[in-house]
Amino acid sequence: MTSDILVKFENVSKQFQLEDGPVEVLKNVNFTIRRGSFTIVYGPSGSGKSTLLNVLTGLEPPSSGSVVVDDVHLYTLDADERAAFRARTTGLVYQTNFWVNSLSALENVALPLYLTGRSYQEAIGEAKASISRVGLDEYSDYRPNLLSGGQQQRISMARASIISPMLLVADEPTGNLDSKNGDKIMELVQSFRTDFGSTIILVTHNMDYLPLSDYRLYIQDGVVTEEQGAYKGPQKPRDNDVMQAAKIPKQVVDFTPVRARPGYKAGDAS
Amino acid sequence: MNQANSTPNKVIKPTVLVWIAFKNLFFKRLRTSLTILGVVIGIGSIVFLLSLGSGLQKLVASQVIGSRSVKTIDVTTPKAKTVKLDQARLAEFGALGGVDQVGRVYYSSGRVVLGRSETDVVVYGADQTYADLSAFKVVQGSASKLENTDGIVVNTSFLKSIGASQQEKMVGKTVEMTIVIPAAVEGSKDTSVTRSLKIGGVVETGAGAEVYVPVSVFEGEGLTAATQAKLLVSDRTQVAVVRKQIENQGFTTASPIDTIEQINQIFNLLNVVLVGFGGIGMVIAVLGMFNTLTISLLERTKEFGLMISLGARARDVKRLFFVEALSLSLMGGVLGIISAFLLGAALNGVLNGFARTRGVTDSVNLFAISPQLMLGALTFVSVLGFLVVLYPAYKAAHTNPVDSMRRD
Repeated sequence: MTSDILVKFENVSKQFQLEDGPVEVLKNVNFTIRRGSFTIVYGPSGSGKSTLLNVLTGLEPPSSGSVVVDDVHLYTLDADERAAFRARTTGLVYQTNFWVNSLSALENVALPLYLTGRSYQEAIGEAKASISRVGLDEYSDYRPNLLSGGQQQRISMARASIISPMLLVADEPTGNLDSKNGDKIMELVQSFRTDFGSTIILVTHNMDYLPLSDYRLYIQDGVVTEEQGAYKGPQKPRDNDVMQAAKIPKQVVDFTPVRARPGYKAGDAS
Repeated sequence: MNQANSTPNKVIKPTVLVWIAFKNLFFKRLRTSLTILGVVIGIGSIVFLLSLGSGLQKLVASQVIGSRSVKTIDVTTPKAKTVKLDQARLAEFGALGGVDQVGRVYYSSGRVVLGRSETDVVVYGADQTYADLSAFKVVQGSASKLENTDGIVVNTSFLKSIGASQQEKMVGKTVEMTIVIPAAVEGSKDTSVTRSLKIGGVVETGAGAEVYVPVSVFEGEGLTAATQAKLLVSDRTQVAVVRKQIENQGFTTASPIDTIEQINQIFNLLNVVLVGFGGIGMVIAVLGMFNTLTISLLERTKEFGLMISLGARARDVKRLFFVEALSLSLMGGVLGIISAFLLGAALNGVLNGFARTRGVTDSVNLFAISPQLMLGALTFVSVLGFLVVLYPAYKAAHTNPVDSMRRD
């Protein structure tokens, strides 16, 4: 029987050994994320958001505690098994895009399928559908790093979608984009829920996106606070650092949901 | 549905891995070409020099052995007075397992008079089997005239010695020969016999004047123990067995195989020296390949991090590197062998063309590339590629995806 809980962190801590001594980046973190939900992780820079995602995706073993994803205790698996697990289940999108430079955009999109044993023809066939889904068919044969930031991020979304992932993990995917492109990417992020039933975990500095979430994980100095239910807006200013880090004036925190932003129309991102 | 557990672990297909490796190599075309060129020069120079060694070895062996069969055994006696090569003994040799033919020859000296010229010669009283097994290179007439009681075969040095300028006119001419007949019985003296004999053939043998006369000339004077016997065995592998049996009877044996082995020993040493010269190029090629792979590793750290984060296993990354390195070395190896082959063939052509202008009709291959040499070179270059890639592949497989994608 499959549990309703997709992700479960239990007493997770992560320490790094630096020259000045140990630094605890995650401090006894506990939370759960339900299947099909949209969770936003936010907090000031250097608070441990990326480390949290790396631990969650099996890329960074915690110093203590357990991480369960889809009923699998991730860190009972070895690195190769965790890689295979990611290949089957997780779509990843980063703020800065990384590519296999010798491959075209289409072939980069197909890459996750190659890693799960699909043939070249099969993978390319599905990659065409994925790249079409983000509206960049005509750029299929381009090297991705020759495309604009917004286009690269959409190719990256196509790559994440090609495995119809159970879990989409996006680490500040709009961080380097203007608002138009950012909104387009956020539309694509949300489409993972409707199109694939994916559970979405998004790290962002942009407070505008908080209303899209069902859950929020606020992280500061490695301590995670869970917030459930629809976002009602800030009851009180959380921390000036958040606003400063995101360069958002305080009044903007009294946000308008993304779909209601004046002047925004779906599909007008370049 | 539990997606993580519902799909079995499947890994990247080898064909896709090879395809990605080739895409990577092609992406850095100039670097790949230069690296392959280094291997071509390295392996090409080794193959070229070894083909020279091999060609020279064959050339020398063919010159020394000539047309003599490696299945022949020369038998002599170190104690002619006690251990004799008489008819009974030769019959015993003929009865040994594996022995097909037995020929005999008597050595002596003599003097030949032709018209107003005369010269001293080495005289061989040989039966036709001996002459056949000696596989003389016939210049004029035939070497099969020793069956006739008055037929003789002379060599070109004899004709030169006696002042005959036109070889083709010498066949059929009669000469007066005085032949020393060694004493048949201990204590008696050598005698001599004078015969009129007809030249039946001219052959190329040693540098001195030699005349082959029928064995009956010696045996008719009472000689029974030959100076040397020549045996032909049915198979090369029988040579050692038969030699052992004959040597156990107190005789001394020799075979063209002995010469071949001596030649091989010398050329094995030469080949080591040649490989040493070629090896310098190969060392440079290996360093070039290592340099290319290491730079590729450093350049592609983010790529490897990405692949691992997307689900590539460490061994997939390692295999990708191995395929790239083996492709570099095999492409370089094959092209190197082809280059060495073409260069050797061109030089063989030039040498033979030059020789033909000087009237030499026999063509020689100074550069000889055997299938074994090609296979050996390919194996060698593959092993080198494998060794060179070990360190970069290990480092690539142990890329920390988090660190690599964080690095700027």
